[in-house]
Amino acid sequence: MDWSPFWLSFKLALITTTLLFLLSIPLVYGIYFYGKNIRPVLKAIISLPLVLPPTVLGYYLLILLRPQGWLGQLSQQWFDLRLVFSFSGLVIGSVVFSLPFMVNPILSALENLPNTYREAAYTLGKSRWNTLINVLLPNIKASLWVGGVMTFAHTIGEFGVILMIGGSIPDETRVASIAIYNEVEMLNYANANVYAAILLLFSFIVLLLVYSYQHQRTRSIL
Amino acid sequence: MNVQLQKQLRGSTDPIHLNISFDIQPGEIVAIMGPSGAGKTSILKMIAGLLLPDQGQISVGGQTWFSSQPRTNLRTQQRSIGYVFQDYALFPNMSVQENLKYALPSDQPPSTIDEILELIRIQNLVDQKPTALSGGQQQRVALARALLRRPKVLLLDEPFAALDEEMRSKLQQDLIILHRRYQTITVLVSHNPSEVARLADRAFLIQDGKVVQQGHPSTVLTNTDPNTLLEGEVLTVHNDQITLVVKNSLSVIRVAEASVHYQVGDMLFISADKYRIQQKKKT
Repeated sequence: MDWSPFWLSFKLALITTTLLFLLSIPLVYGIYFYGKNIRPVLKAIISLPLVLPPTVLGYYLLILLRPQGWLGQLSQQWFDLRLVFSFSGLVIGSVVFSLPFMVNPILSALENLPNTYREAAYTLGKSRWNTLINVLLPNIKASLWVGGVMTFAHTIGEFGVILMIGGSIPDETRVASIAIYNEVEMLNYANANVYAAILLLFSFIVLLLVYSYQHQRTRSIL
Repeated sequence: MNVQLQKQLRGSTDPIHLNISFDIQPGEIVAIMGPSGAGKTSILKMIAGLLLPDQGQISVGGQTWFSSQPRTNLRTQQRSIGYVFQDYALFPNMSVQENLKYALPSDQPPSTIDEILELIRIQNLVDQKPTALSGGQQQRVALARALLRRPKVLLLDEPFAALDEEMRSKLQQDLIILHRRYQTITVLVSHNPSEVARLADRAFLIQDGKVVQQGHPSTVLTNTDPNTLLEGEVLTVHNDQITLVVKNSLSVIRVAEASVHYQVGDMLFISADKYRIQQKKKT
């Protein structure tokens, strides 16, 4: 049994979650404080990966990341890095694909906080950035956790986009979900069974943790 | 402080055109009164820079905070204000001490916190989280936090509304002490006449976005004829017996041939004119 696809999935999920966390804070800052009038448009763009078929997203990413594509050319020239059919490409794809899973919970939690927290911080002379970091984000810790865990789990389960931009290169782009597909293609049902069962169990445990946490918080508030 | 404000506000039913102007002297406490939705909170928010007026100007001690022409608009952070919100808006992630520390400007020594804690007697609460405090305690912390920056203008949005009468009067005392200590211009939005009478040097009564009365609280609050004994709306008329709604309670009076002279919905008032007691319909 080859465990490397799981290690690759884990590595991809960890890097994606970390990058998305760092990226979503300034993104949320921009949308929450400055994008008031165009918020519906921005939210719609960010949420696109939720409804788009992964093949559509994968197709556009492929166009963008291939050596002739805008981003592919840029990365080739600057970093001598090929993005399609490589782990780096997968990271970019995953970040785009999981963006709504991180940004949406944080943004809606911010919108549900009383406006007076923000206003009170302003009256104390605090800047927007200071208000976000010291007042707003610490009061939505639960949503930050949920965003992080859901992003991680969603990246582990990603398939369509990875297949489109990464293919199935062992130790490079063959993540757990792709490995299952390969095993079934080769009629290795025994291996596919084990892989699938592990992913099923993992997904269930993640969701159980998220909902137990939310349940406990609701109970403690009540 | 000179305030002239114009703004189109969305009222609960019809839009309200807020158009007010007033001057407040340093060290003065001014109360803004009026029915819900009259634009009282909006006035505070415009002074604080949290809401943009359509036109007008706000200047405090010679500094222009807002002017529509020529265009000036200081950000909230640049205005020397303390604001106590109706829901207090203490930050739940910080303890009382941390809330105050966060509010303390860098040019003030940390001893300022101890001084204000002592002044309003909350030293024993410093390690508590705001959610563990009673309404009155939260109110005190909010007041302390607002005053730490030594603001020129203190804005209070119905700060005592959620408290019982005993706590209310204690905190009103505290407010007077703090106001004397810090000599702010204090603008207080309130529904409560006794509160306004106790605290304010001047009161404004606002209706439909306009100041309809202003002056010493005693003249604004007692806006009826000094001889009036009872004033109310007729709820029912039965033979010579009339039930009146008087300030949210019911009073029953007997008037000869009541059903001939009065109808449901009439306003009736009874006044003492020298030695004669009269009752009549108010038009």
